Amino acid sequence: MASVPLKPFFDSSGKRILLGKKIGSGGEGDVYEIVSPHLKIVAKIYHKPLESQKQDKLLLMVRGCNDELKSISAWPVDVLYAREGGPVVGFLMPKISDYEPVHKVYGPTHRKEHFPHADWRFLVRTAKNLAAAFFVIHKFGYVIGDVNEGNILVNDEACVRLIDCDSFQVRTNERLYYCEVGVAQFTPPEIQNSKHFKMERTANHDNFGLSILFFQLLFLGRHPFSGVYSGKEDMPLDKAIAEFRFAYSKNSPLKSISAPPNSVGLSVVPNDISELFERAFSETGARPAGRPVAGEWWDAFESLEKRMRRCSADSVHSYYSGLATCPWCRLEESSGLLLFLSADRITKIDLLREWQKVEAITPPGPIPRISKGTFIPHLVPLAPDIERSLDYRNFCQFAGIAIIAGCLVMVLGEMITDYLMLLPVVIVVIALFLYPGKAVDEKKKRLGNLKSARYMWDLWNKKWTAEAGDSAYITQLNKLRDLKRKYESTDREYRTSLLSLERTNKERQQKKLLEHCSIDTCTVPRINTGLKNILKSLGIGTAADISRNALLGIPQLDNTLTNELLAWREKMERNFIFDPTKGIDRLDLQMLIHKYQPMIKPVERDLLQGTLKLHRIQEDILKKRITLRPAIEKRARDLAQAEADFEVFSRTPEEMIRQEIIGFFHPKKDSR
Amino acid sequence: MSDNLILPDQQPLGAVTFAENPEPRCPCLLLLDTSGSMAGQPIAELNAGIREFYNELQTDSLAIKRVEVALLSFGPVRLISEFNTAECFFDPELKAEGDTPMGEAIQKGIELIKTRKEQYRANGISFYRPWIFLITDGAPTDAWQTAAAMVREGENAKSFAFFAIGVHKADMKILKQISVREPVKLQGLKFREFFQWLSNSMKSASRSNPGDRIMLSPPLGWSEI
Repeated sequence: MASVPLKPFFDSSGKRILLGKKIGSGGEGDVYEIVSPHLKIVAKIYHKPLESQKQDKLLLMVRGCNDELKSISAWPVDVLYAREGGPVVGFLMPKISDYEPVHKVYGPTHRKEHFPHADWRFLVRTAKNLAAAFFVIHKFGYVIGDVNEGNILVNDEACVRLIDCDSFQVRTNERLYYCEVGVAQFTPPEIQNSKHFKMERTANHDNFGLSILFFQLLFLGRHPFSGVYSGKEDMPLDKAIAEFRFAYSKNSPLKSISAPPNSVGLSVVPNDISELFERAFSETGARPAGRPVAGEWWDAFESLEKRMRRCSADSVHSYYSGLATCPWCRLEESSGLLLFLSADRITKIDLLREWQKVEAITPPGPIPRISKGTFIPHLVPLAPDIERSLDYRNFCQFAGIAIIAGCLVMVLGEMITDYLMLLPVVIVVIALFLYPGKAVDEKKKRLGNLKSARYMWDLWNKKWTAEAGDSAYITQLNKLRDLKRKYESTDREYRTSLLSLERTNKERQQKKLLEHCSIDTCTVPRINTGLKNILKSLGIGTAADISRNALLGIPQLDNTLTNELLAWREKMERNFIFDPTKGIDRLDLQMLIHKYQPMIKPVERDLLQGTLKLHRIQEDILKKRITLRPAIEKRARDLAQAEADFEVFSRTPEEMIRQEIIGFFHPKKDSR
Repeated sequence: MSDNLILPDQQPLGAVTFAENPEPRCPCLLLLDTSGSMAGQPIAELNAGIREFYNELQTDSLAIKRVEVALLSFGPVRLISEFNTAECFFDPELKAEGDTPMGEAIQKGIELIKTRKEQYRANGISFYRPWIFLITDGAPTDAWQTAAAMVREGENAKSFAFFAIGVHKADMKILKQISVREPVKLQGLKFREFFQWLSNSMKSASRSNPGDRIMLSPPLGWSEI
């Protein structure tokens, strides 16, 4: 932490102001606490000397300060000087603590983290309060100029405060003090292309940025000009704004832009509000005073607040009562998002019922067996001439074999000694084997058929097994079983924590009661105000803080005093009556829910979507079993037929020899 | 086969995150040379620098929602981390090994940017012009001419801004031919100072305007200028 400037500063009345701890730092200056008695005031000290017109502007703002401005902003309440009569070096402003920038409210991720209790009602109230704040600024003739997501703060009661007021545009009759900064996302189309902001800004400009913020608050952080653009080129936000491409407008198709996936449209707000948005973001709005002003918005939100309904399925879902169904349920269901943290329970589904849905999906069962064995081929007899040719060929080959056998016998019996004599015999045998005939062509043809039938069968059988088999179904079912286990274990963990919360309910109720018994109410005579203050400074402020250990070693207490204090605590304790109907403290319960809900939600989503997927897989398998069946059956039948057709050739001597040789090299080859 | 089993799968995670965090994105791709010559102190300093870079971004509530960083190391080319916001950054421990396939890395990086931009567009998420930072201590060991042409093309079309940072004995001449913008030489091993500067630049960029204007502060404190 940077060192605190030790030297005092002076306010406009010449009073010394001593700075305390530094609590913030920005591009232009640092913000410090003020040493008491100014507890609700802080000081901003600039890094660099201020131009005289900036000093004048601050003096003007201080002069214009009033209760209304102070209540909604960090308005300069007085200027600061480093020395009396010197230049203005800083200013004093109301302290704003426990507020967060508005982007943490409208962005769903940060909202769930920093504003876990916020529902849509909260967001509408924030919008309404924001409208009220702008209303006040504009009422007194100021223009904010640099409207952005960082200089608007919100607290957990949806109250809004504006900061960085020293950049506001200030006007007097004589002159105009510019707001020289701006952020493109909130800058209106008509000045979107200017190179700098040294220009007069109007309330109508502010009202553009204001409408952007309203949109972001009401539509879950979406920027109205950030959509799906159908053109080829990039569509940065500044360009989309300059070209009036409001992605949710009823005219958006004309602008080639549409709302992003997983978003809600203008239909979730009443007509009057959607018309305000249309006007604020259209060409009409860019005309002088063309946009709806803060007051109009305030009225619209006020009337929306009176027309809100709580969702029957989830009480954290508030929505406009003009809608037939809850838009948040619909979006949560279709996207799997967790839009709002529920206040009641961690999950919306009934696991048992969801699992029944899984079980209601009939397993497709093992794949129906289809093979060539299923089919009886009808034998096609060979044509007589081919038959004859085959018979003759077989005869020749048997004769060849007989001759070889005869030769072999003779060689073994040493009847032939000159092996050269065998040469003519070998030639005859080869001729006998290779003797061509009509049968050879037929065989070639049938073998070709067989080969292609086998190839086709393999191909289709693979597809059949993959697509009509139940392995995809089983994989998905196992995935769902895993998810169910995960869901159950998270749920169990939540319930255990809930139980222990209930078990300690009595102690916590008692503790709470004791925490409400301030030591100031203690009427033991010897415990006087002085002693009470000492105790308080040591952290013993209520009966809950009193215990023998805590009192030990406090020099001002003797034994009697210690015992008297303990007795007082016991007396307070006796006042305690446990009220079991009171149940668990709502805040404790919500903390527990907010811890477990984000854990169980993704599992819930995967489970629901996974069940649908299982159903689709099952349907697909059953469908494939019907559509693929004729094809696979045809291939099985073809194969059976091709094998039967070839049968007659596979019994020939040469084929048997061939099979023997193949069998020798590929001993286990299965020929189906 | 046309009638393959195609099942519409569950919602891609990307789309859900975009709905939960619809803030405009500020993508930054780091192309990191992890060739053998980076071994020892250089790679250790680089790792430390990246870690600090991540930590720095995480402290800023707007940057954490807007800045997306992807890491691609080369030697060999590896996608260490896809584009992610700081909330789910992956903190890698890079190792130095292999040669310097810079050309391939640049091409793959540009491809990665292109894919990410398509996701942004499909989900209606606005984005700032992506930044590519190439950090190397050597010279490419592969063909880099195609990559250089792609960089030029991308710069001209304003599809991204490409910056080259040379470390030690980096071949600044080739870097000059690859990068349209003047390459910058890192002072010693001041990776931390560089990443500090980069996180500051990303933080202010993520507050500016998701268009094509580039707001980089001068590279002071880490470069040899």
